[in-house]
This record gives sequence, C-alpha cells and structure tokens, in this order.
Amino acid sequence: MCATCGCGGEEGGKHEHHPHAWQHRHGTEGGRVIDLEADLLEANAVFARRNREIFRRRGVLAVNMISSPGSGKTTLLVRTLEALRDRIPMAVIEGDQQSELDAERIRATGVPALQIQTGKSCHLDAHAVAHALEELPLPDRGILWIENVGNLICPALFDLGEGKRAVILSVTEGEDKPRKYPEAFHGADLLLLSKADLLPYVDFSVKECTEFAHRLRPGLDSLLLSAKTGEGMEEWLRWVEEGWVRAKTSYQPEEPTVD
Amino acid sequence: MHELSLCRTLVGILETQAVRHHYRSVRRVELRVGPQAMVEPGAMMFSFGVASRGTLAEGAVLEIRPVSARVVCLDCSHEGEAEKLAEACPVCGSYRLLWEEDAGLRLGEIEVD
Repeated sequence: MCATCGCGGEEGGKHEHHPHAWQHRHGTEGGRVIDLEADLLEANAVFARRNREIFRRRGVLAVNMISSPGSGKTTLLVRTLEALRDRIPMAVIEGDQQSELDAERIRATGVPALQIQTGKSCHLDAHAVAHALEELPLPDRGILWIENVGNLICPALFDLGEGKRAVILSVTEGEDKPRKYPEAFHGADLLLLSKADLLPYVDFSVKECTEFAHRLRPGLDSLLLSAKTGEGMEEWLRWVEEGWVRAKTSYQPEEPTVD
Repeated sequence: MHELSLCRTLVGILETQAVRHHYRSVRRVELRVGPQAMVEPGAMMFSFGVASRGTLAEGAVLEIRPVSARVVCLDCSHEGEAEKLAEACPVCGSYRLLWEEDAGLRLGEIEVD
C-alpha cells in the first residue's frame, strides 16, 4: 500500500470492460430523494492542493503542458532544457499511455525524468503526480515540467497543482482548435503556437486562432514558436523565467528536525 | 475517455454516502454539468453503466443536467450566468468574462431505496 494515499498502487486504468452493462429502470416512484451536491473532482482537488503546497514550499515552478499528440511538445521541451539547464535546476514528469520513449529523450539532456505510464487512462491526474513526486527528486527553486498525455480534451479537467498551464497547438492542426476544444484553452495561462516554420505551407490564421482563444480566456498570453528554427524561443524562455523567478521566492528551507 | 474515471469516482461517492444516508440501492442519479466541464453525455452514460456494474448503483438511471456558471464581465462589471464558454456579456457584448473557478461537475440529487 502506498504512503501518499493508501491506494493499492494500481491507479492508471486497470479495469475490466463490461460493454453491455446496464439497463434503464423506469418508474422510480417511492424512492427517497437526497441532494448530495458532491463535487466529482474533489478527490483530485485534494491531491492538487497538496502538490501545489509542496511546489510552493520548495519554490518550484510547475508547468503543465497540454496538447494533442504530435504538437512537438517533447521537442520543445528538449530545446528548452538545453537552453536553461546550466542556470536552472529542473526535472520532468512525462505522461504517456505506454513506453519510456519520451523520458529517454529527456534524460539524454541530462535532466532527470520520470515516465508515468497511464495505461488506459487518457490524462494525468493530481494523484498520479503526487506518486511521481515520491520518486522524482524535486528541484528546489527550479522548474518541474509536466508533459501531459497527448490529448486536448481530458487533461484540461484535471488540476495537477501546477503553477502555470501551457497549451501547445501546432499550426498544422488548424486554427479552429480553440472552438472545438474550448476547455483546454479556457484553463490555459499560455497559448504556444508551435511549428511556426510550417506556416507558409498551411492555411492557418494566427489572428483567428488567438482571437477565439481570447474569448475563452481573456488576456491569455500567446506565442508563435518554432523549436526547429528557434523563432520565438527567446520570448518563450522569457515567459518561463518570469514564472520561475516568481515561484522561487516562496522557497522555505526545511527546518532541521530536533530529536 | 476521462468519463470512465469520473464515473468510478461517482460510484465511489454513492457507496460512501450509502453508509451515511442508509440506503441499499440507487435508482436515479442526477449529474450537474457546468459549461466548463468537458464531459460527453454519451460517454458518461456508457461509462456509468460500466463503473456501476456489481455495485449498489447498478441499473440506476443517470440524468445529465446542464447547469450554468457564474461570470463577471471585466468591462462593465455585469454579474450573470453563462451557459457555454466563449459567450459574450449580455449587457455590453464584451468577451472578457471572468468565470467562477469551480469546474462545475457535481453529483446532485439521487433517488434511493
């Protein structure tokens, strides 16, 4: 049993399918009615609050990166780690349904990475991150990158306790993504339009995309970036560093324990 | 399909509350879904069937009820309710609305035996 939450340690989608499961039962006269008014996300919120408090005390900027698969998240992350690793302590949590591939790419930069394999689950939740924090050495006064499972829908609903949430959208995906997947943008702190070097070859209106994203999140910062050519990288790194400088001021050194 | 993990949570709450409210089975469950909660009703119904199987909620009817969220307009300070994301302020037409933080996904009324 795990120490964080008392679970059996089998989170992450172990379940059986019963596809023909249920039948509606009609006519419910005579039953007792209770108004529970219970928040379905409360269990996640408890872990998110706990993670956030850990990040605050350790002066860590945690960045939750959300995008669909293939937006170039990992490439961007590798470039970012290479640019900042000499000055800022960092660590990475990689969320994927299967494989260690992304964590291996990250480790090649020399930055510690932990891969969470979510199995059948389509998103990271605060509980999974809490477990990862038991294993991954958290970089005091540094940055924890959390690369969420490639999915623009499900991760949006789950607060991980992060300080900043960046949504990455590659220009090859089309400018209508904010219309189609509003929640991801509604909860974002930064919209990163990636693969900017491909703009001449695709019909993608940066203006239309960011305008609609602003309807979902007034004042949302947005950046146009290419990890390949380096365009926009400077601006992106500035955004990251601003968040980092602010986050590390809350660092509280642990009191030495007295016997 | 985050709906499945949500439904597992939902069934977990129903089981916990059964002790407190002394019921043995659930006939009907009302789920209140706000505009900020990304859940797909069809996927939710399906997942509820899967997650409730063999529990006291097996066979219960899941009613999905859309609810609105509280918003404040950052330009004219109008306070009101919004039914979906990216709506304009009904008073001044601005899209700069500040939303309540709650994601708006709640288990509402249940009917039990």
